[in-house]
Amino acid sequence: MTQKILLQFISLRHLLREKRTWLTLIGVALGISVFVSIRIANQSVLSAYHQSVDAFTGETTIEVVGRSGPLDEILLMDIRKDPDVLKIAPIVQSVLPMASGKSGRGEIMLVMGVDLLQEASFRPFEVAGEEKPLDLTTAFDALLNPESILLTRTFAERQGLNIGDPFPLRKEGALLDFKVAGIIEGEVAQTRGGNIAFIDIAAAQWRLNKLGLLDRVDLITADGVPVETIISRLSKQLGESVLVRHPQQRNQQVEKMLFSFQLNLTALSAISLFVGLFLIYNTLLVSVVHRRKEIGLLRSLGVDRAQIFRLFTLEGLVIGTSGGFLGVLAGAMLARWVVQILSTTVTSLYVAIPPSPLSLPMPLFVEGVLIGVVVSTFSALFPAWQAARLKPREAMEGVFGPEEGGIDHRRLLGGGALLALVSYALSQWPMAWGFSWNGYLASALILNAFSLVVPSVILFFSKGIHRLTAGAAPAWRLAQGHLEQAIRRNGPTISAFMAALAMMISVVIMIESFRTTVVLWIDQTIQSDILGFPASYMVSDSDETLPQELLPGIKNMDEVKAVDGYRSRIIAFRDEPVELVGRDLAVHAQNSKYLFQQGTSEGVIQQVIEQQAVVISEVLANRFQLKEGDRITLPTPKGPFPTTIGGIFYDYGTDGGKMVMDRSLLKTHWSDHEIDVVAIYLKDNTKPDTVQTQLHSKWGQTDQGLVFTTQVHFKKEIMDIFDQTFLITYALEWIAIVVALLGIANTLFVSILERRREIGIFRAIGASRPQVIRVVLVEAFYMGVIGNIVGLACGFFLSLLLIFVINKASFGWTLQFHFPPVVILHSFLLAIGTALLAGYFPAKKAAEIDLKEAIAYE
Amino acid sequence: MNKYRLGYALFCWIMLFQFQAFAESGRFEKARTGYTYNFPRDHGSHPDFLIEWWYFTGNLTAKNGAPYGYELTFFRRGIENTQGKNNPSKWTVRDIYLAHFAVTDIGNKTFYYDEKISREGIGKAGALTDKMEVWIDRWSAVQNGETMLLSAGDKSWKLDLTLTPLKPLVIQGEGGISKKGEVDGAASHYYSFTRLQSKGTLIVNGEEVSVSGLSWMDHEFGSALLGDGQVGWDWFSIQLDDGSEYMFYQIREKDGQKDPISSGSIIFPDGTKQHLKAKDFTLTPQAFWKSPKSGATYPLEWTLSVPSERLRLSAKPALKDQELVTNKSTRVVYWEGASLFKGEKDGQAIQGKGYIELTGYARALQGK
Repeated sequence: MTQKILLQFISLRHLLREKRTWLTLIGVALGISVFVSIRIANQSVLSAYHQSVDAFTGETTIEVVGRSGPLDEILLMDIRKDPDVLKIAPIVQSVLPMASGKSGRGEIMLVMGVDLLQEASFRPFEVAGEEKPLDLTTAFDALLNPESILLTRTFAERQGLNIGDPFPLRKEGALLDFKVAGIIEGEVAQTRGGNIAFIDIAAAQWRLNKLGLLDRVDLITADGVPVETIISRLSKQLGESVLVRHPQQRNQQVEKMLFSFQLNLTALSAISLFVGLFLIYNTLLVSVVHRRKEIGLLRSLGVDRAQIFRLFTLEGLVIGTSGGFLGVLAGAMLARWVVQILSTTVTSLYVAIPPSPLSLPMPLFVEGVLIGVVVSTFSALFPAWQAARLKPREAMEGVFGPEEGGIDHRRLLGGGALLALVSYALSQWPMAWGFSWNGYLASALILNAFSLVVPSVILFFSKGIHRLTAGAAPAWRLAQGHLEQAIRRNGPTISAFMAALAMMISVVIMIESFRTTVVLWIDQTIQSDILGFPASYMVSDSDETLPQELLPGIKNMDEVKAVDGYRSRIIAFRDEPVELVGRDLAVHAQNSKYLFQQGTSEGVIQQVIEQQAVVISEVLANRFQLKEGDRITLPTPKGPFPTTIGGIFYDYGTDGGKMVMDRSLLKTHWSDHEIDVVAIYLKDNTKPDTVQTQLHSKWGQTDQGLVFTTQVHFKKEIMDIFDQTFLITYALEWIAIVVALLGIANTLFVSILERRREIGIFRAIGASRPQVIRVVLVEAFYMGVIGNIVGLACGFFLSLLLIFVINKASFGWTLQFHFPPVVILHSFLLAIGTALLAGYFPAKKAAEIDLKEAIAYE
Repeated sequence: MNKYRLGYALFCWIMLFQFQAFAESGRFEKARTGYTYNFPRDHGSHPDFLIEWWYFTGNLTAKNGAPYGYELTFFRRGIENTQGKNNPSKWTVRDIYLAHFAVTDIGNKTFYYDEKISREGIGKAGALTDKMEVWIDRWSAVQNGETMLLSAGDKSWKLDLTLTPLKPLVIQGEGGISKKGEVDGAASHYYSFTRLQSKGTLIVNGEEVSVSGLSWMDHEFGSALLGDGQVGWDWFSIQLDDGSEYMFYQIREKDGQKDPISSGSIIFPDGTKQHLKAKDFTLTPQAFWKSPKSGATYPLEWTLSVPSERLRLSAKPALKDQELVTNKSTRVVYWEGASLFKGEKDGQAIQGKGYIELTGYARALQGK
């Protein structure tokens, strides 16, 4: 027992004294902090999303929507017959932009038309009225007045609006006048960041042009009856054109995509953790080497192998646990910033997320610390085993045992090859839409495979350098000799560095491939010279459409060659929401194109027009396992519409895919004559700006909220969104690099300590301080070069996995692989710069070694 | 800041107690002398009048003798909707429907109530104009030949009753109107079925019981029922064991005085009716009860006398707490309860059952 305490005391004292312990600690803490912050941010954003969805769902147990569009309100008569339906809330809704705000920025509102008399029993909201009780006339006129609108407290305060203030919205280029009649509080008011407004359903039908129609019906059903039973009964009762489902199902698609997105982020953040693992491993291994004597002494004093093993495991545990605690604290702080970026990104990509309050849940903290503990214990095992198997004599003598120099790099190489093989096999696993477990596993394996290759590369490299530097300054050879000698210590360091680089490189290649693909796609498919759309179009679910007279008006302009009216709506295809686009395919075929998997754009489109077929995006094809030539049936208000898939095209939206048909079909089968976007092709496309100005002066007055943008500008906007999306990814990678950098500094530090005597002698025989510095820096340089060479190779394979396995499964996109050669240059600069930076401080330290003391070391 | 749960409260309060000043609005007719009743048409809805209600109360007994009371009232209120009246949407509000449903489980001293409010919507609520059929969701009062079918409540408290008139209906008041104030139009058209044989089932706190007994039905419609200065009313319906029924109401003024317009009626066993003027009867409160829920003090025990009939009755509630607080924040509060009557008539001991309605006692009604 006392022995144990003694051991622990020695061990801990050791730990605290060593600078590299602190470096390791910081590295581990950084790794964990990144992981934890991403986890916290993910959860905060998700819970903000869920909360707003839940508040919105309220007490609703079932919702009824039309498969092809709004429902006929007469349907309520049938729903009411069901004995287990207790309450029915009809809803008419529209997402519309406000005409202008005091803040100068028009915001987008979800306008819900509900039966205000019973809404409170569905969704938890309270209305704050005036101080005095309203008299009859005021109360009814305020609520039932078709111009009355109820705003949330959050929104009203943000916009500086009070009861009685005018609040105009925009629809089809015209103004819809409303007056603030009340302020909503309670949970519902938090939905969409407060950008939700309520009006009475009668007013909604009238003013939103939806007389006789309902967008959705929410039901509250009897407690004791299984919802499934009621759903199937109602489905039968209401017929084919209606979809009866759980309210949660509405968000399934969004949730799936959010899940993939967040999973990818988590995986990326795990990179730093992975690098941290190497760091601990490295530190402890170095520690074993450094403390051979101490181990020998302890062993001679009768401490057995198991105790030595425990001693070193404990050291790892202490580092891991403290790193875990530190990491969790830092992660919590980091999360504040990550949450903001993440909500912005998610909002611009998938779904409007209210400002997410940062929640710091205990389980995530515990998880962070636990990860620290597990990772550290795991990475301490091998060094501890190494320490335990040292023979007392060997250790006491301080001689390098045969195993020290003679690492069996061939066996490691073989192991690496095996791992790589398994990884390849995994990557060929049949793809499932959603979570790509095989992709992640294959990535982890390939990283490990390349780590195992590192020692062989060091030896190979060292031999090559030996030859190359035959005539060079002694610093180059000295460093080379040491590199090879300390392979057991340098191996893990370089591996860690390599891993960080590889992941960085793979992500860069992935993003570059993605970017190139998107650029190519935009260039080929966005050919119109000017695009016109409502100002709110960039908001994912805005319902604002263009004025009816716009299309013929533009067509009649002298400068215009052709106009393509584009309309998008959501239908329920196989019970899931799918975007259906109607556009003038003939115009599109003549002037622009789709990138089809097979066939030319013009050929496919021509056929699609003739056969009244549809083309679908690759993502949609993956989502529903559809192939070219498949027969499908689309629900329309006039009954089922059977059609064929005429082609599959590449598309890189984040919307879960789309289906495109000629707009004439949308008109006949859906009676939908609206247009969201006009694509304008000019006779002379050299001066789009002048036409743009003309269009603006004719239709683009601010109150109409129309935007006309030139091709160049539009493309730039898309790319800006794209780049913003990957901001966080880059940030994550940088942190991984910093962790690896700490690893290199750490190893070099130890290397200096190890070689105090050597350096002392070196100095004694006449080496100058700058020369000492040079030797150390050269070794760092070698490490950087090796790390980068292996990292590049590993990164290349990783990027293949990312692009063709993980991304494909998570998002359904096919990306063109694009390896930018400049990556090689950049990574070299980065790797060597990093290595030199990390080596500089140890080098300086080495130069400062006191001569006498160093030689007297023995 | 005065917060309210959007929905019930505001409208109940408006609906029941703020009747003044609405006869002037163009859309609605006034209740005036000379109205010719026409049945079954007048059992139906009268959208030309601002306010209308179908009111049912009764004292029921289970087979094992357990006594129950119930109230089921449907209200219709015309809505001016000045801005939205041209809206072609079927959801446009022209009438608001409300319903109050209460059950008194006298044996277990339990009082249950629930309420509904609704626009017509697409068949969600409504009232036919050619016969009595008024409903909100699954609560309804429907005329079925000579009988009336009542249905209200949910799973754990529910009422299903068939009512059969034992006497023909009586038109209350004089000249076809029941006056509520001196102003022109401050009156209602008002008729009653004073003795309805009732049979059906009650679900009381989840348990189903077969019940039978006597009910009372009022149907009233008009456009301005309470005048300025009037704060509430006390209303009595009494079914005596000798086959006669009595109805009294007195309207109270701000100063606590009884408005001279108050009146009543006697329905003799043969079905003939005699109108009573304010001076023909006295209603004297004897004991008071303060509601722990609303804080309002109600006169729950009364002595009633009709000197011309040599009738003296004392009234006691079957249960003290039969108060309906439709919403705490606006304190829409009234007392409507099954009551027992005992006394003597013409020197003979007599007893009966009935309902008492007491409104306007919760001062907070007018808001802070």
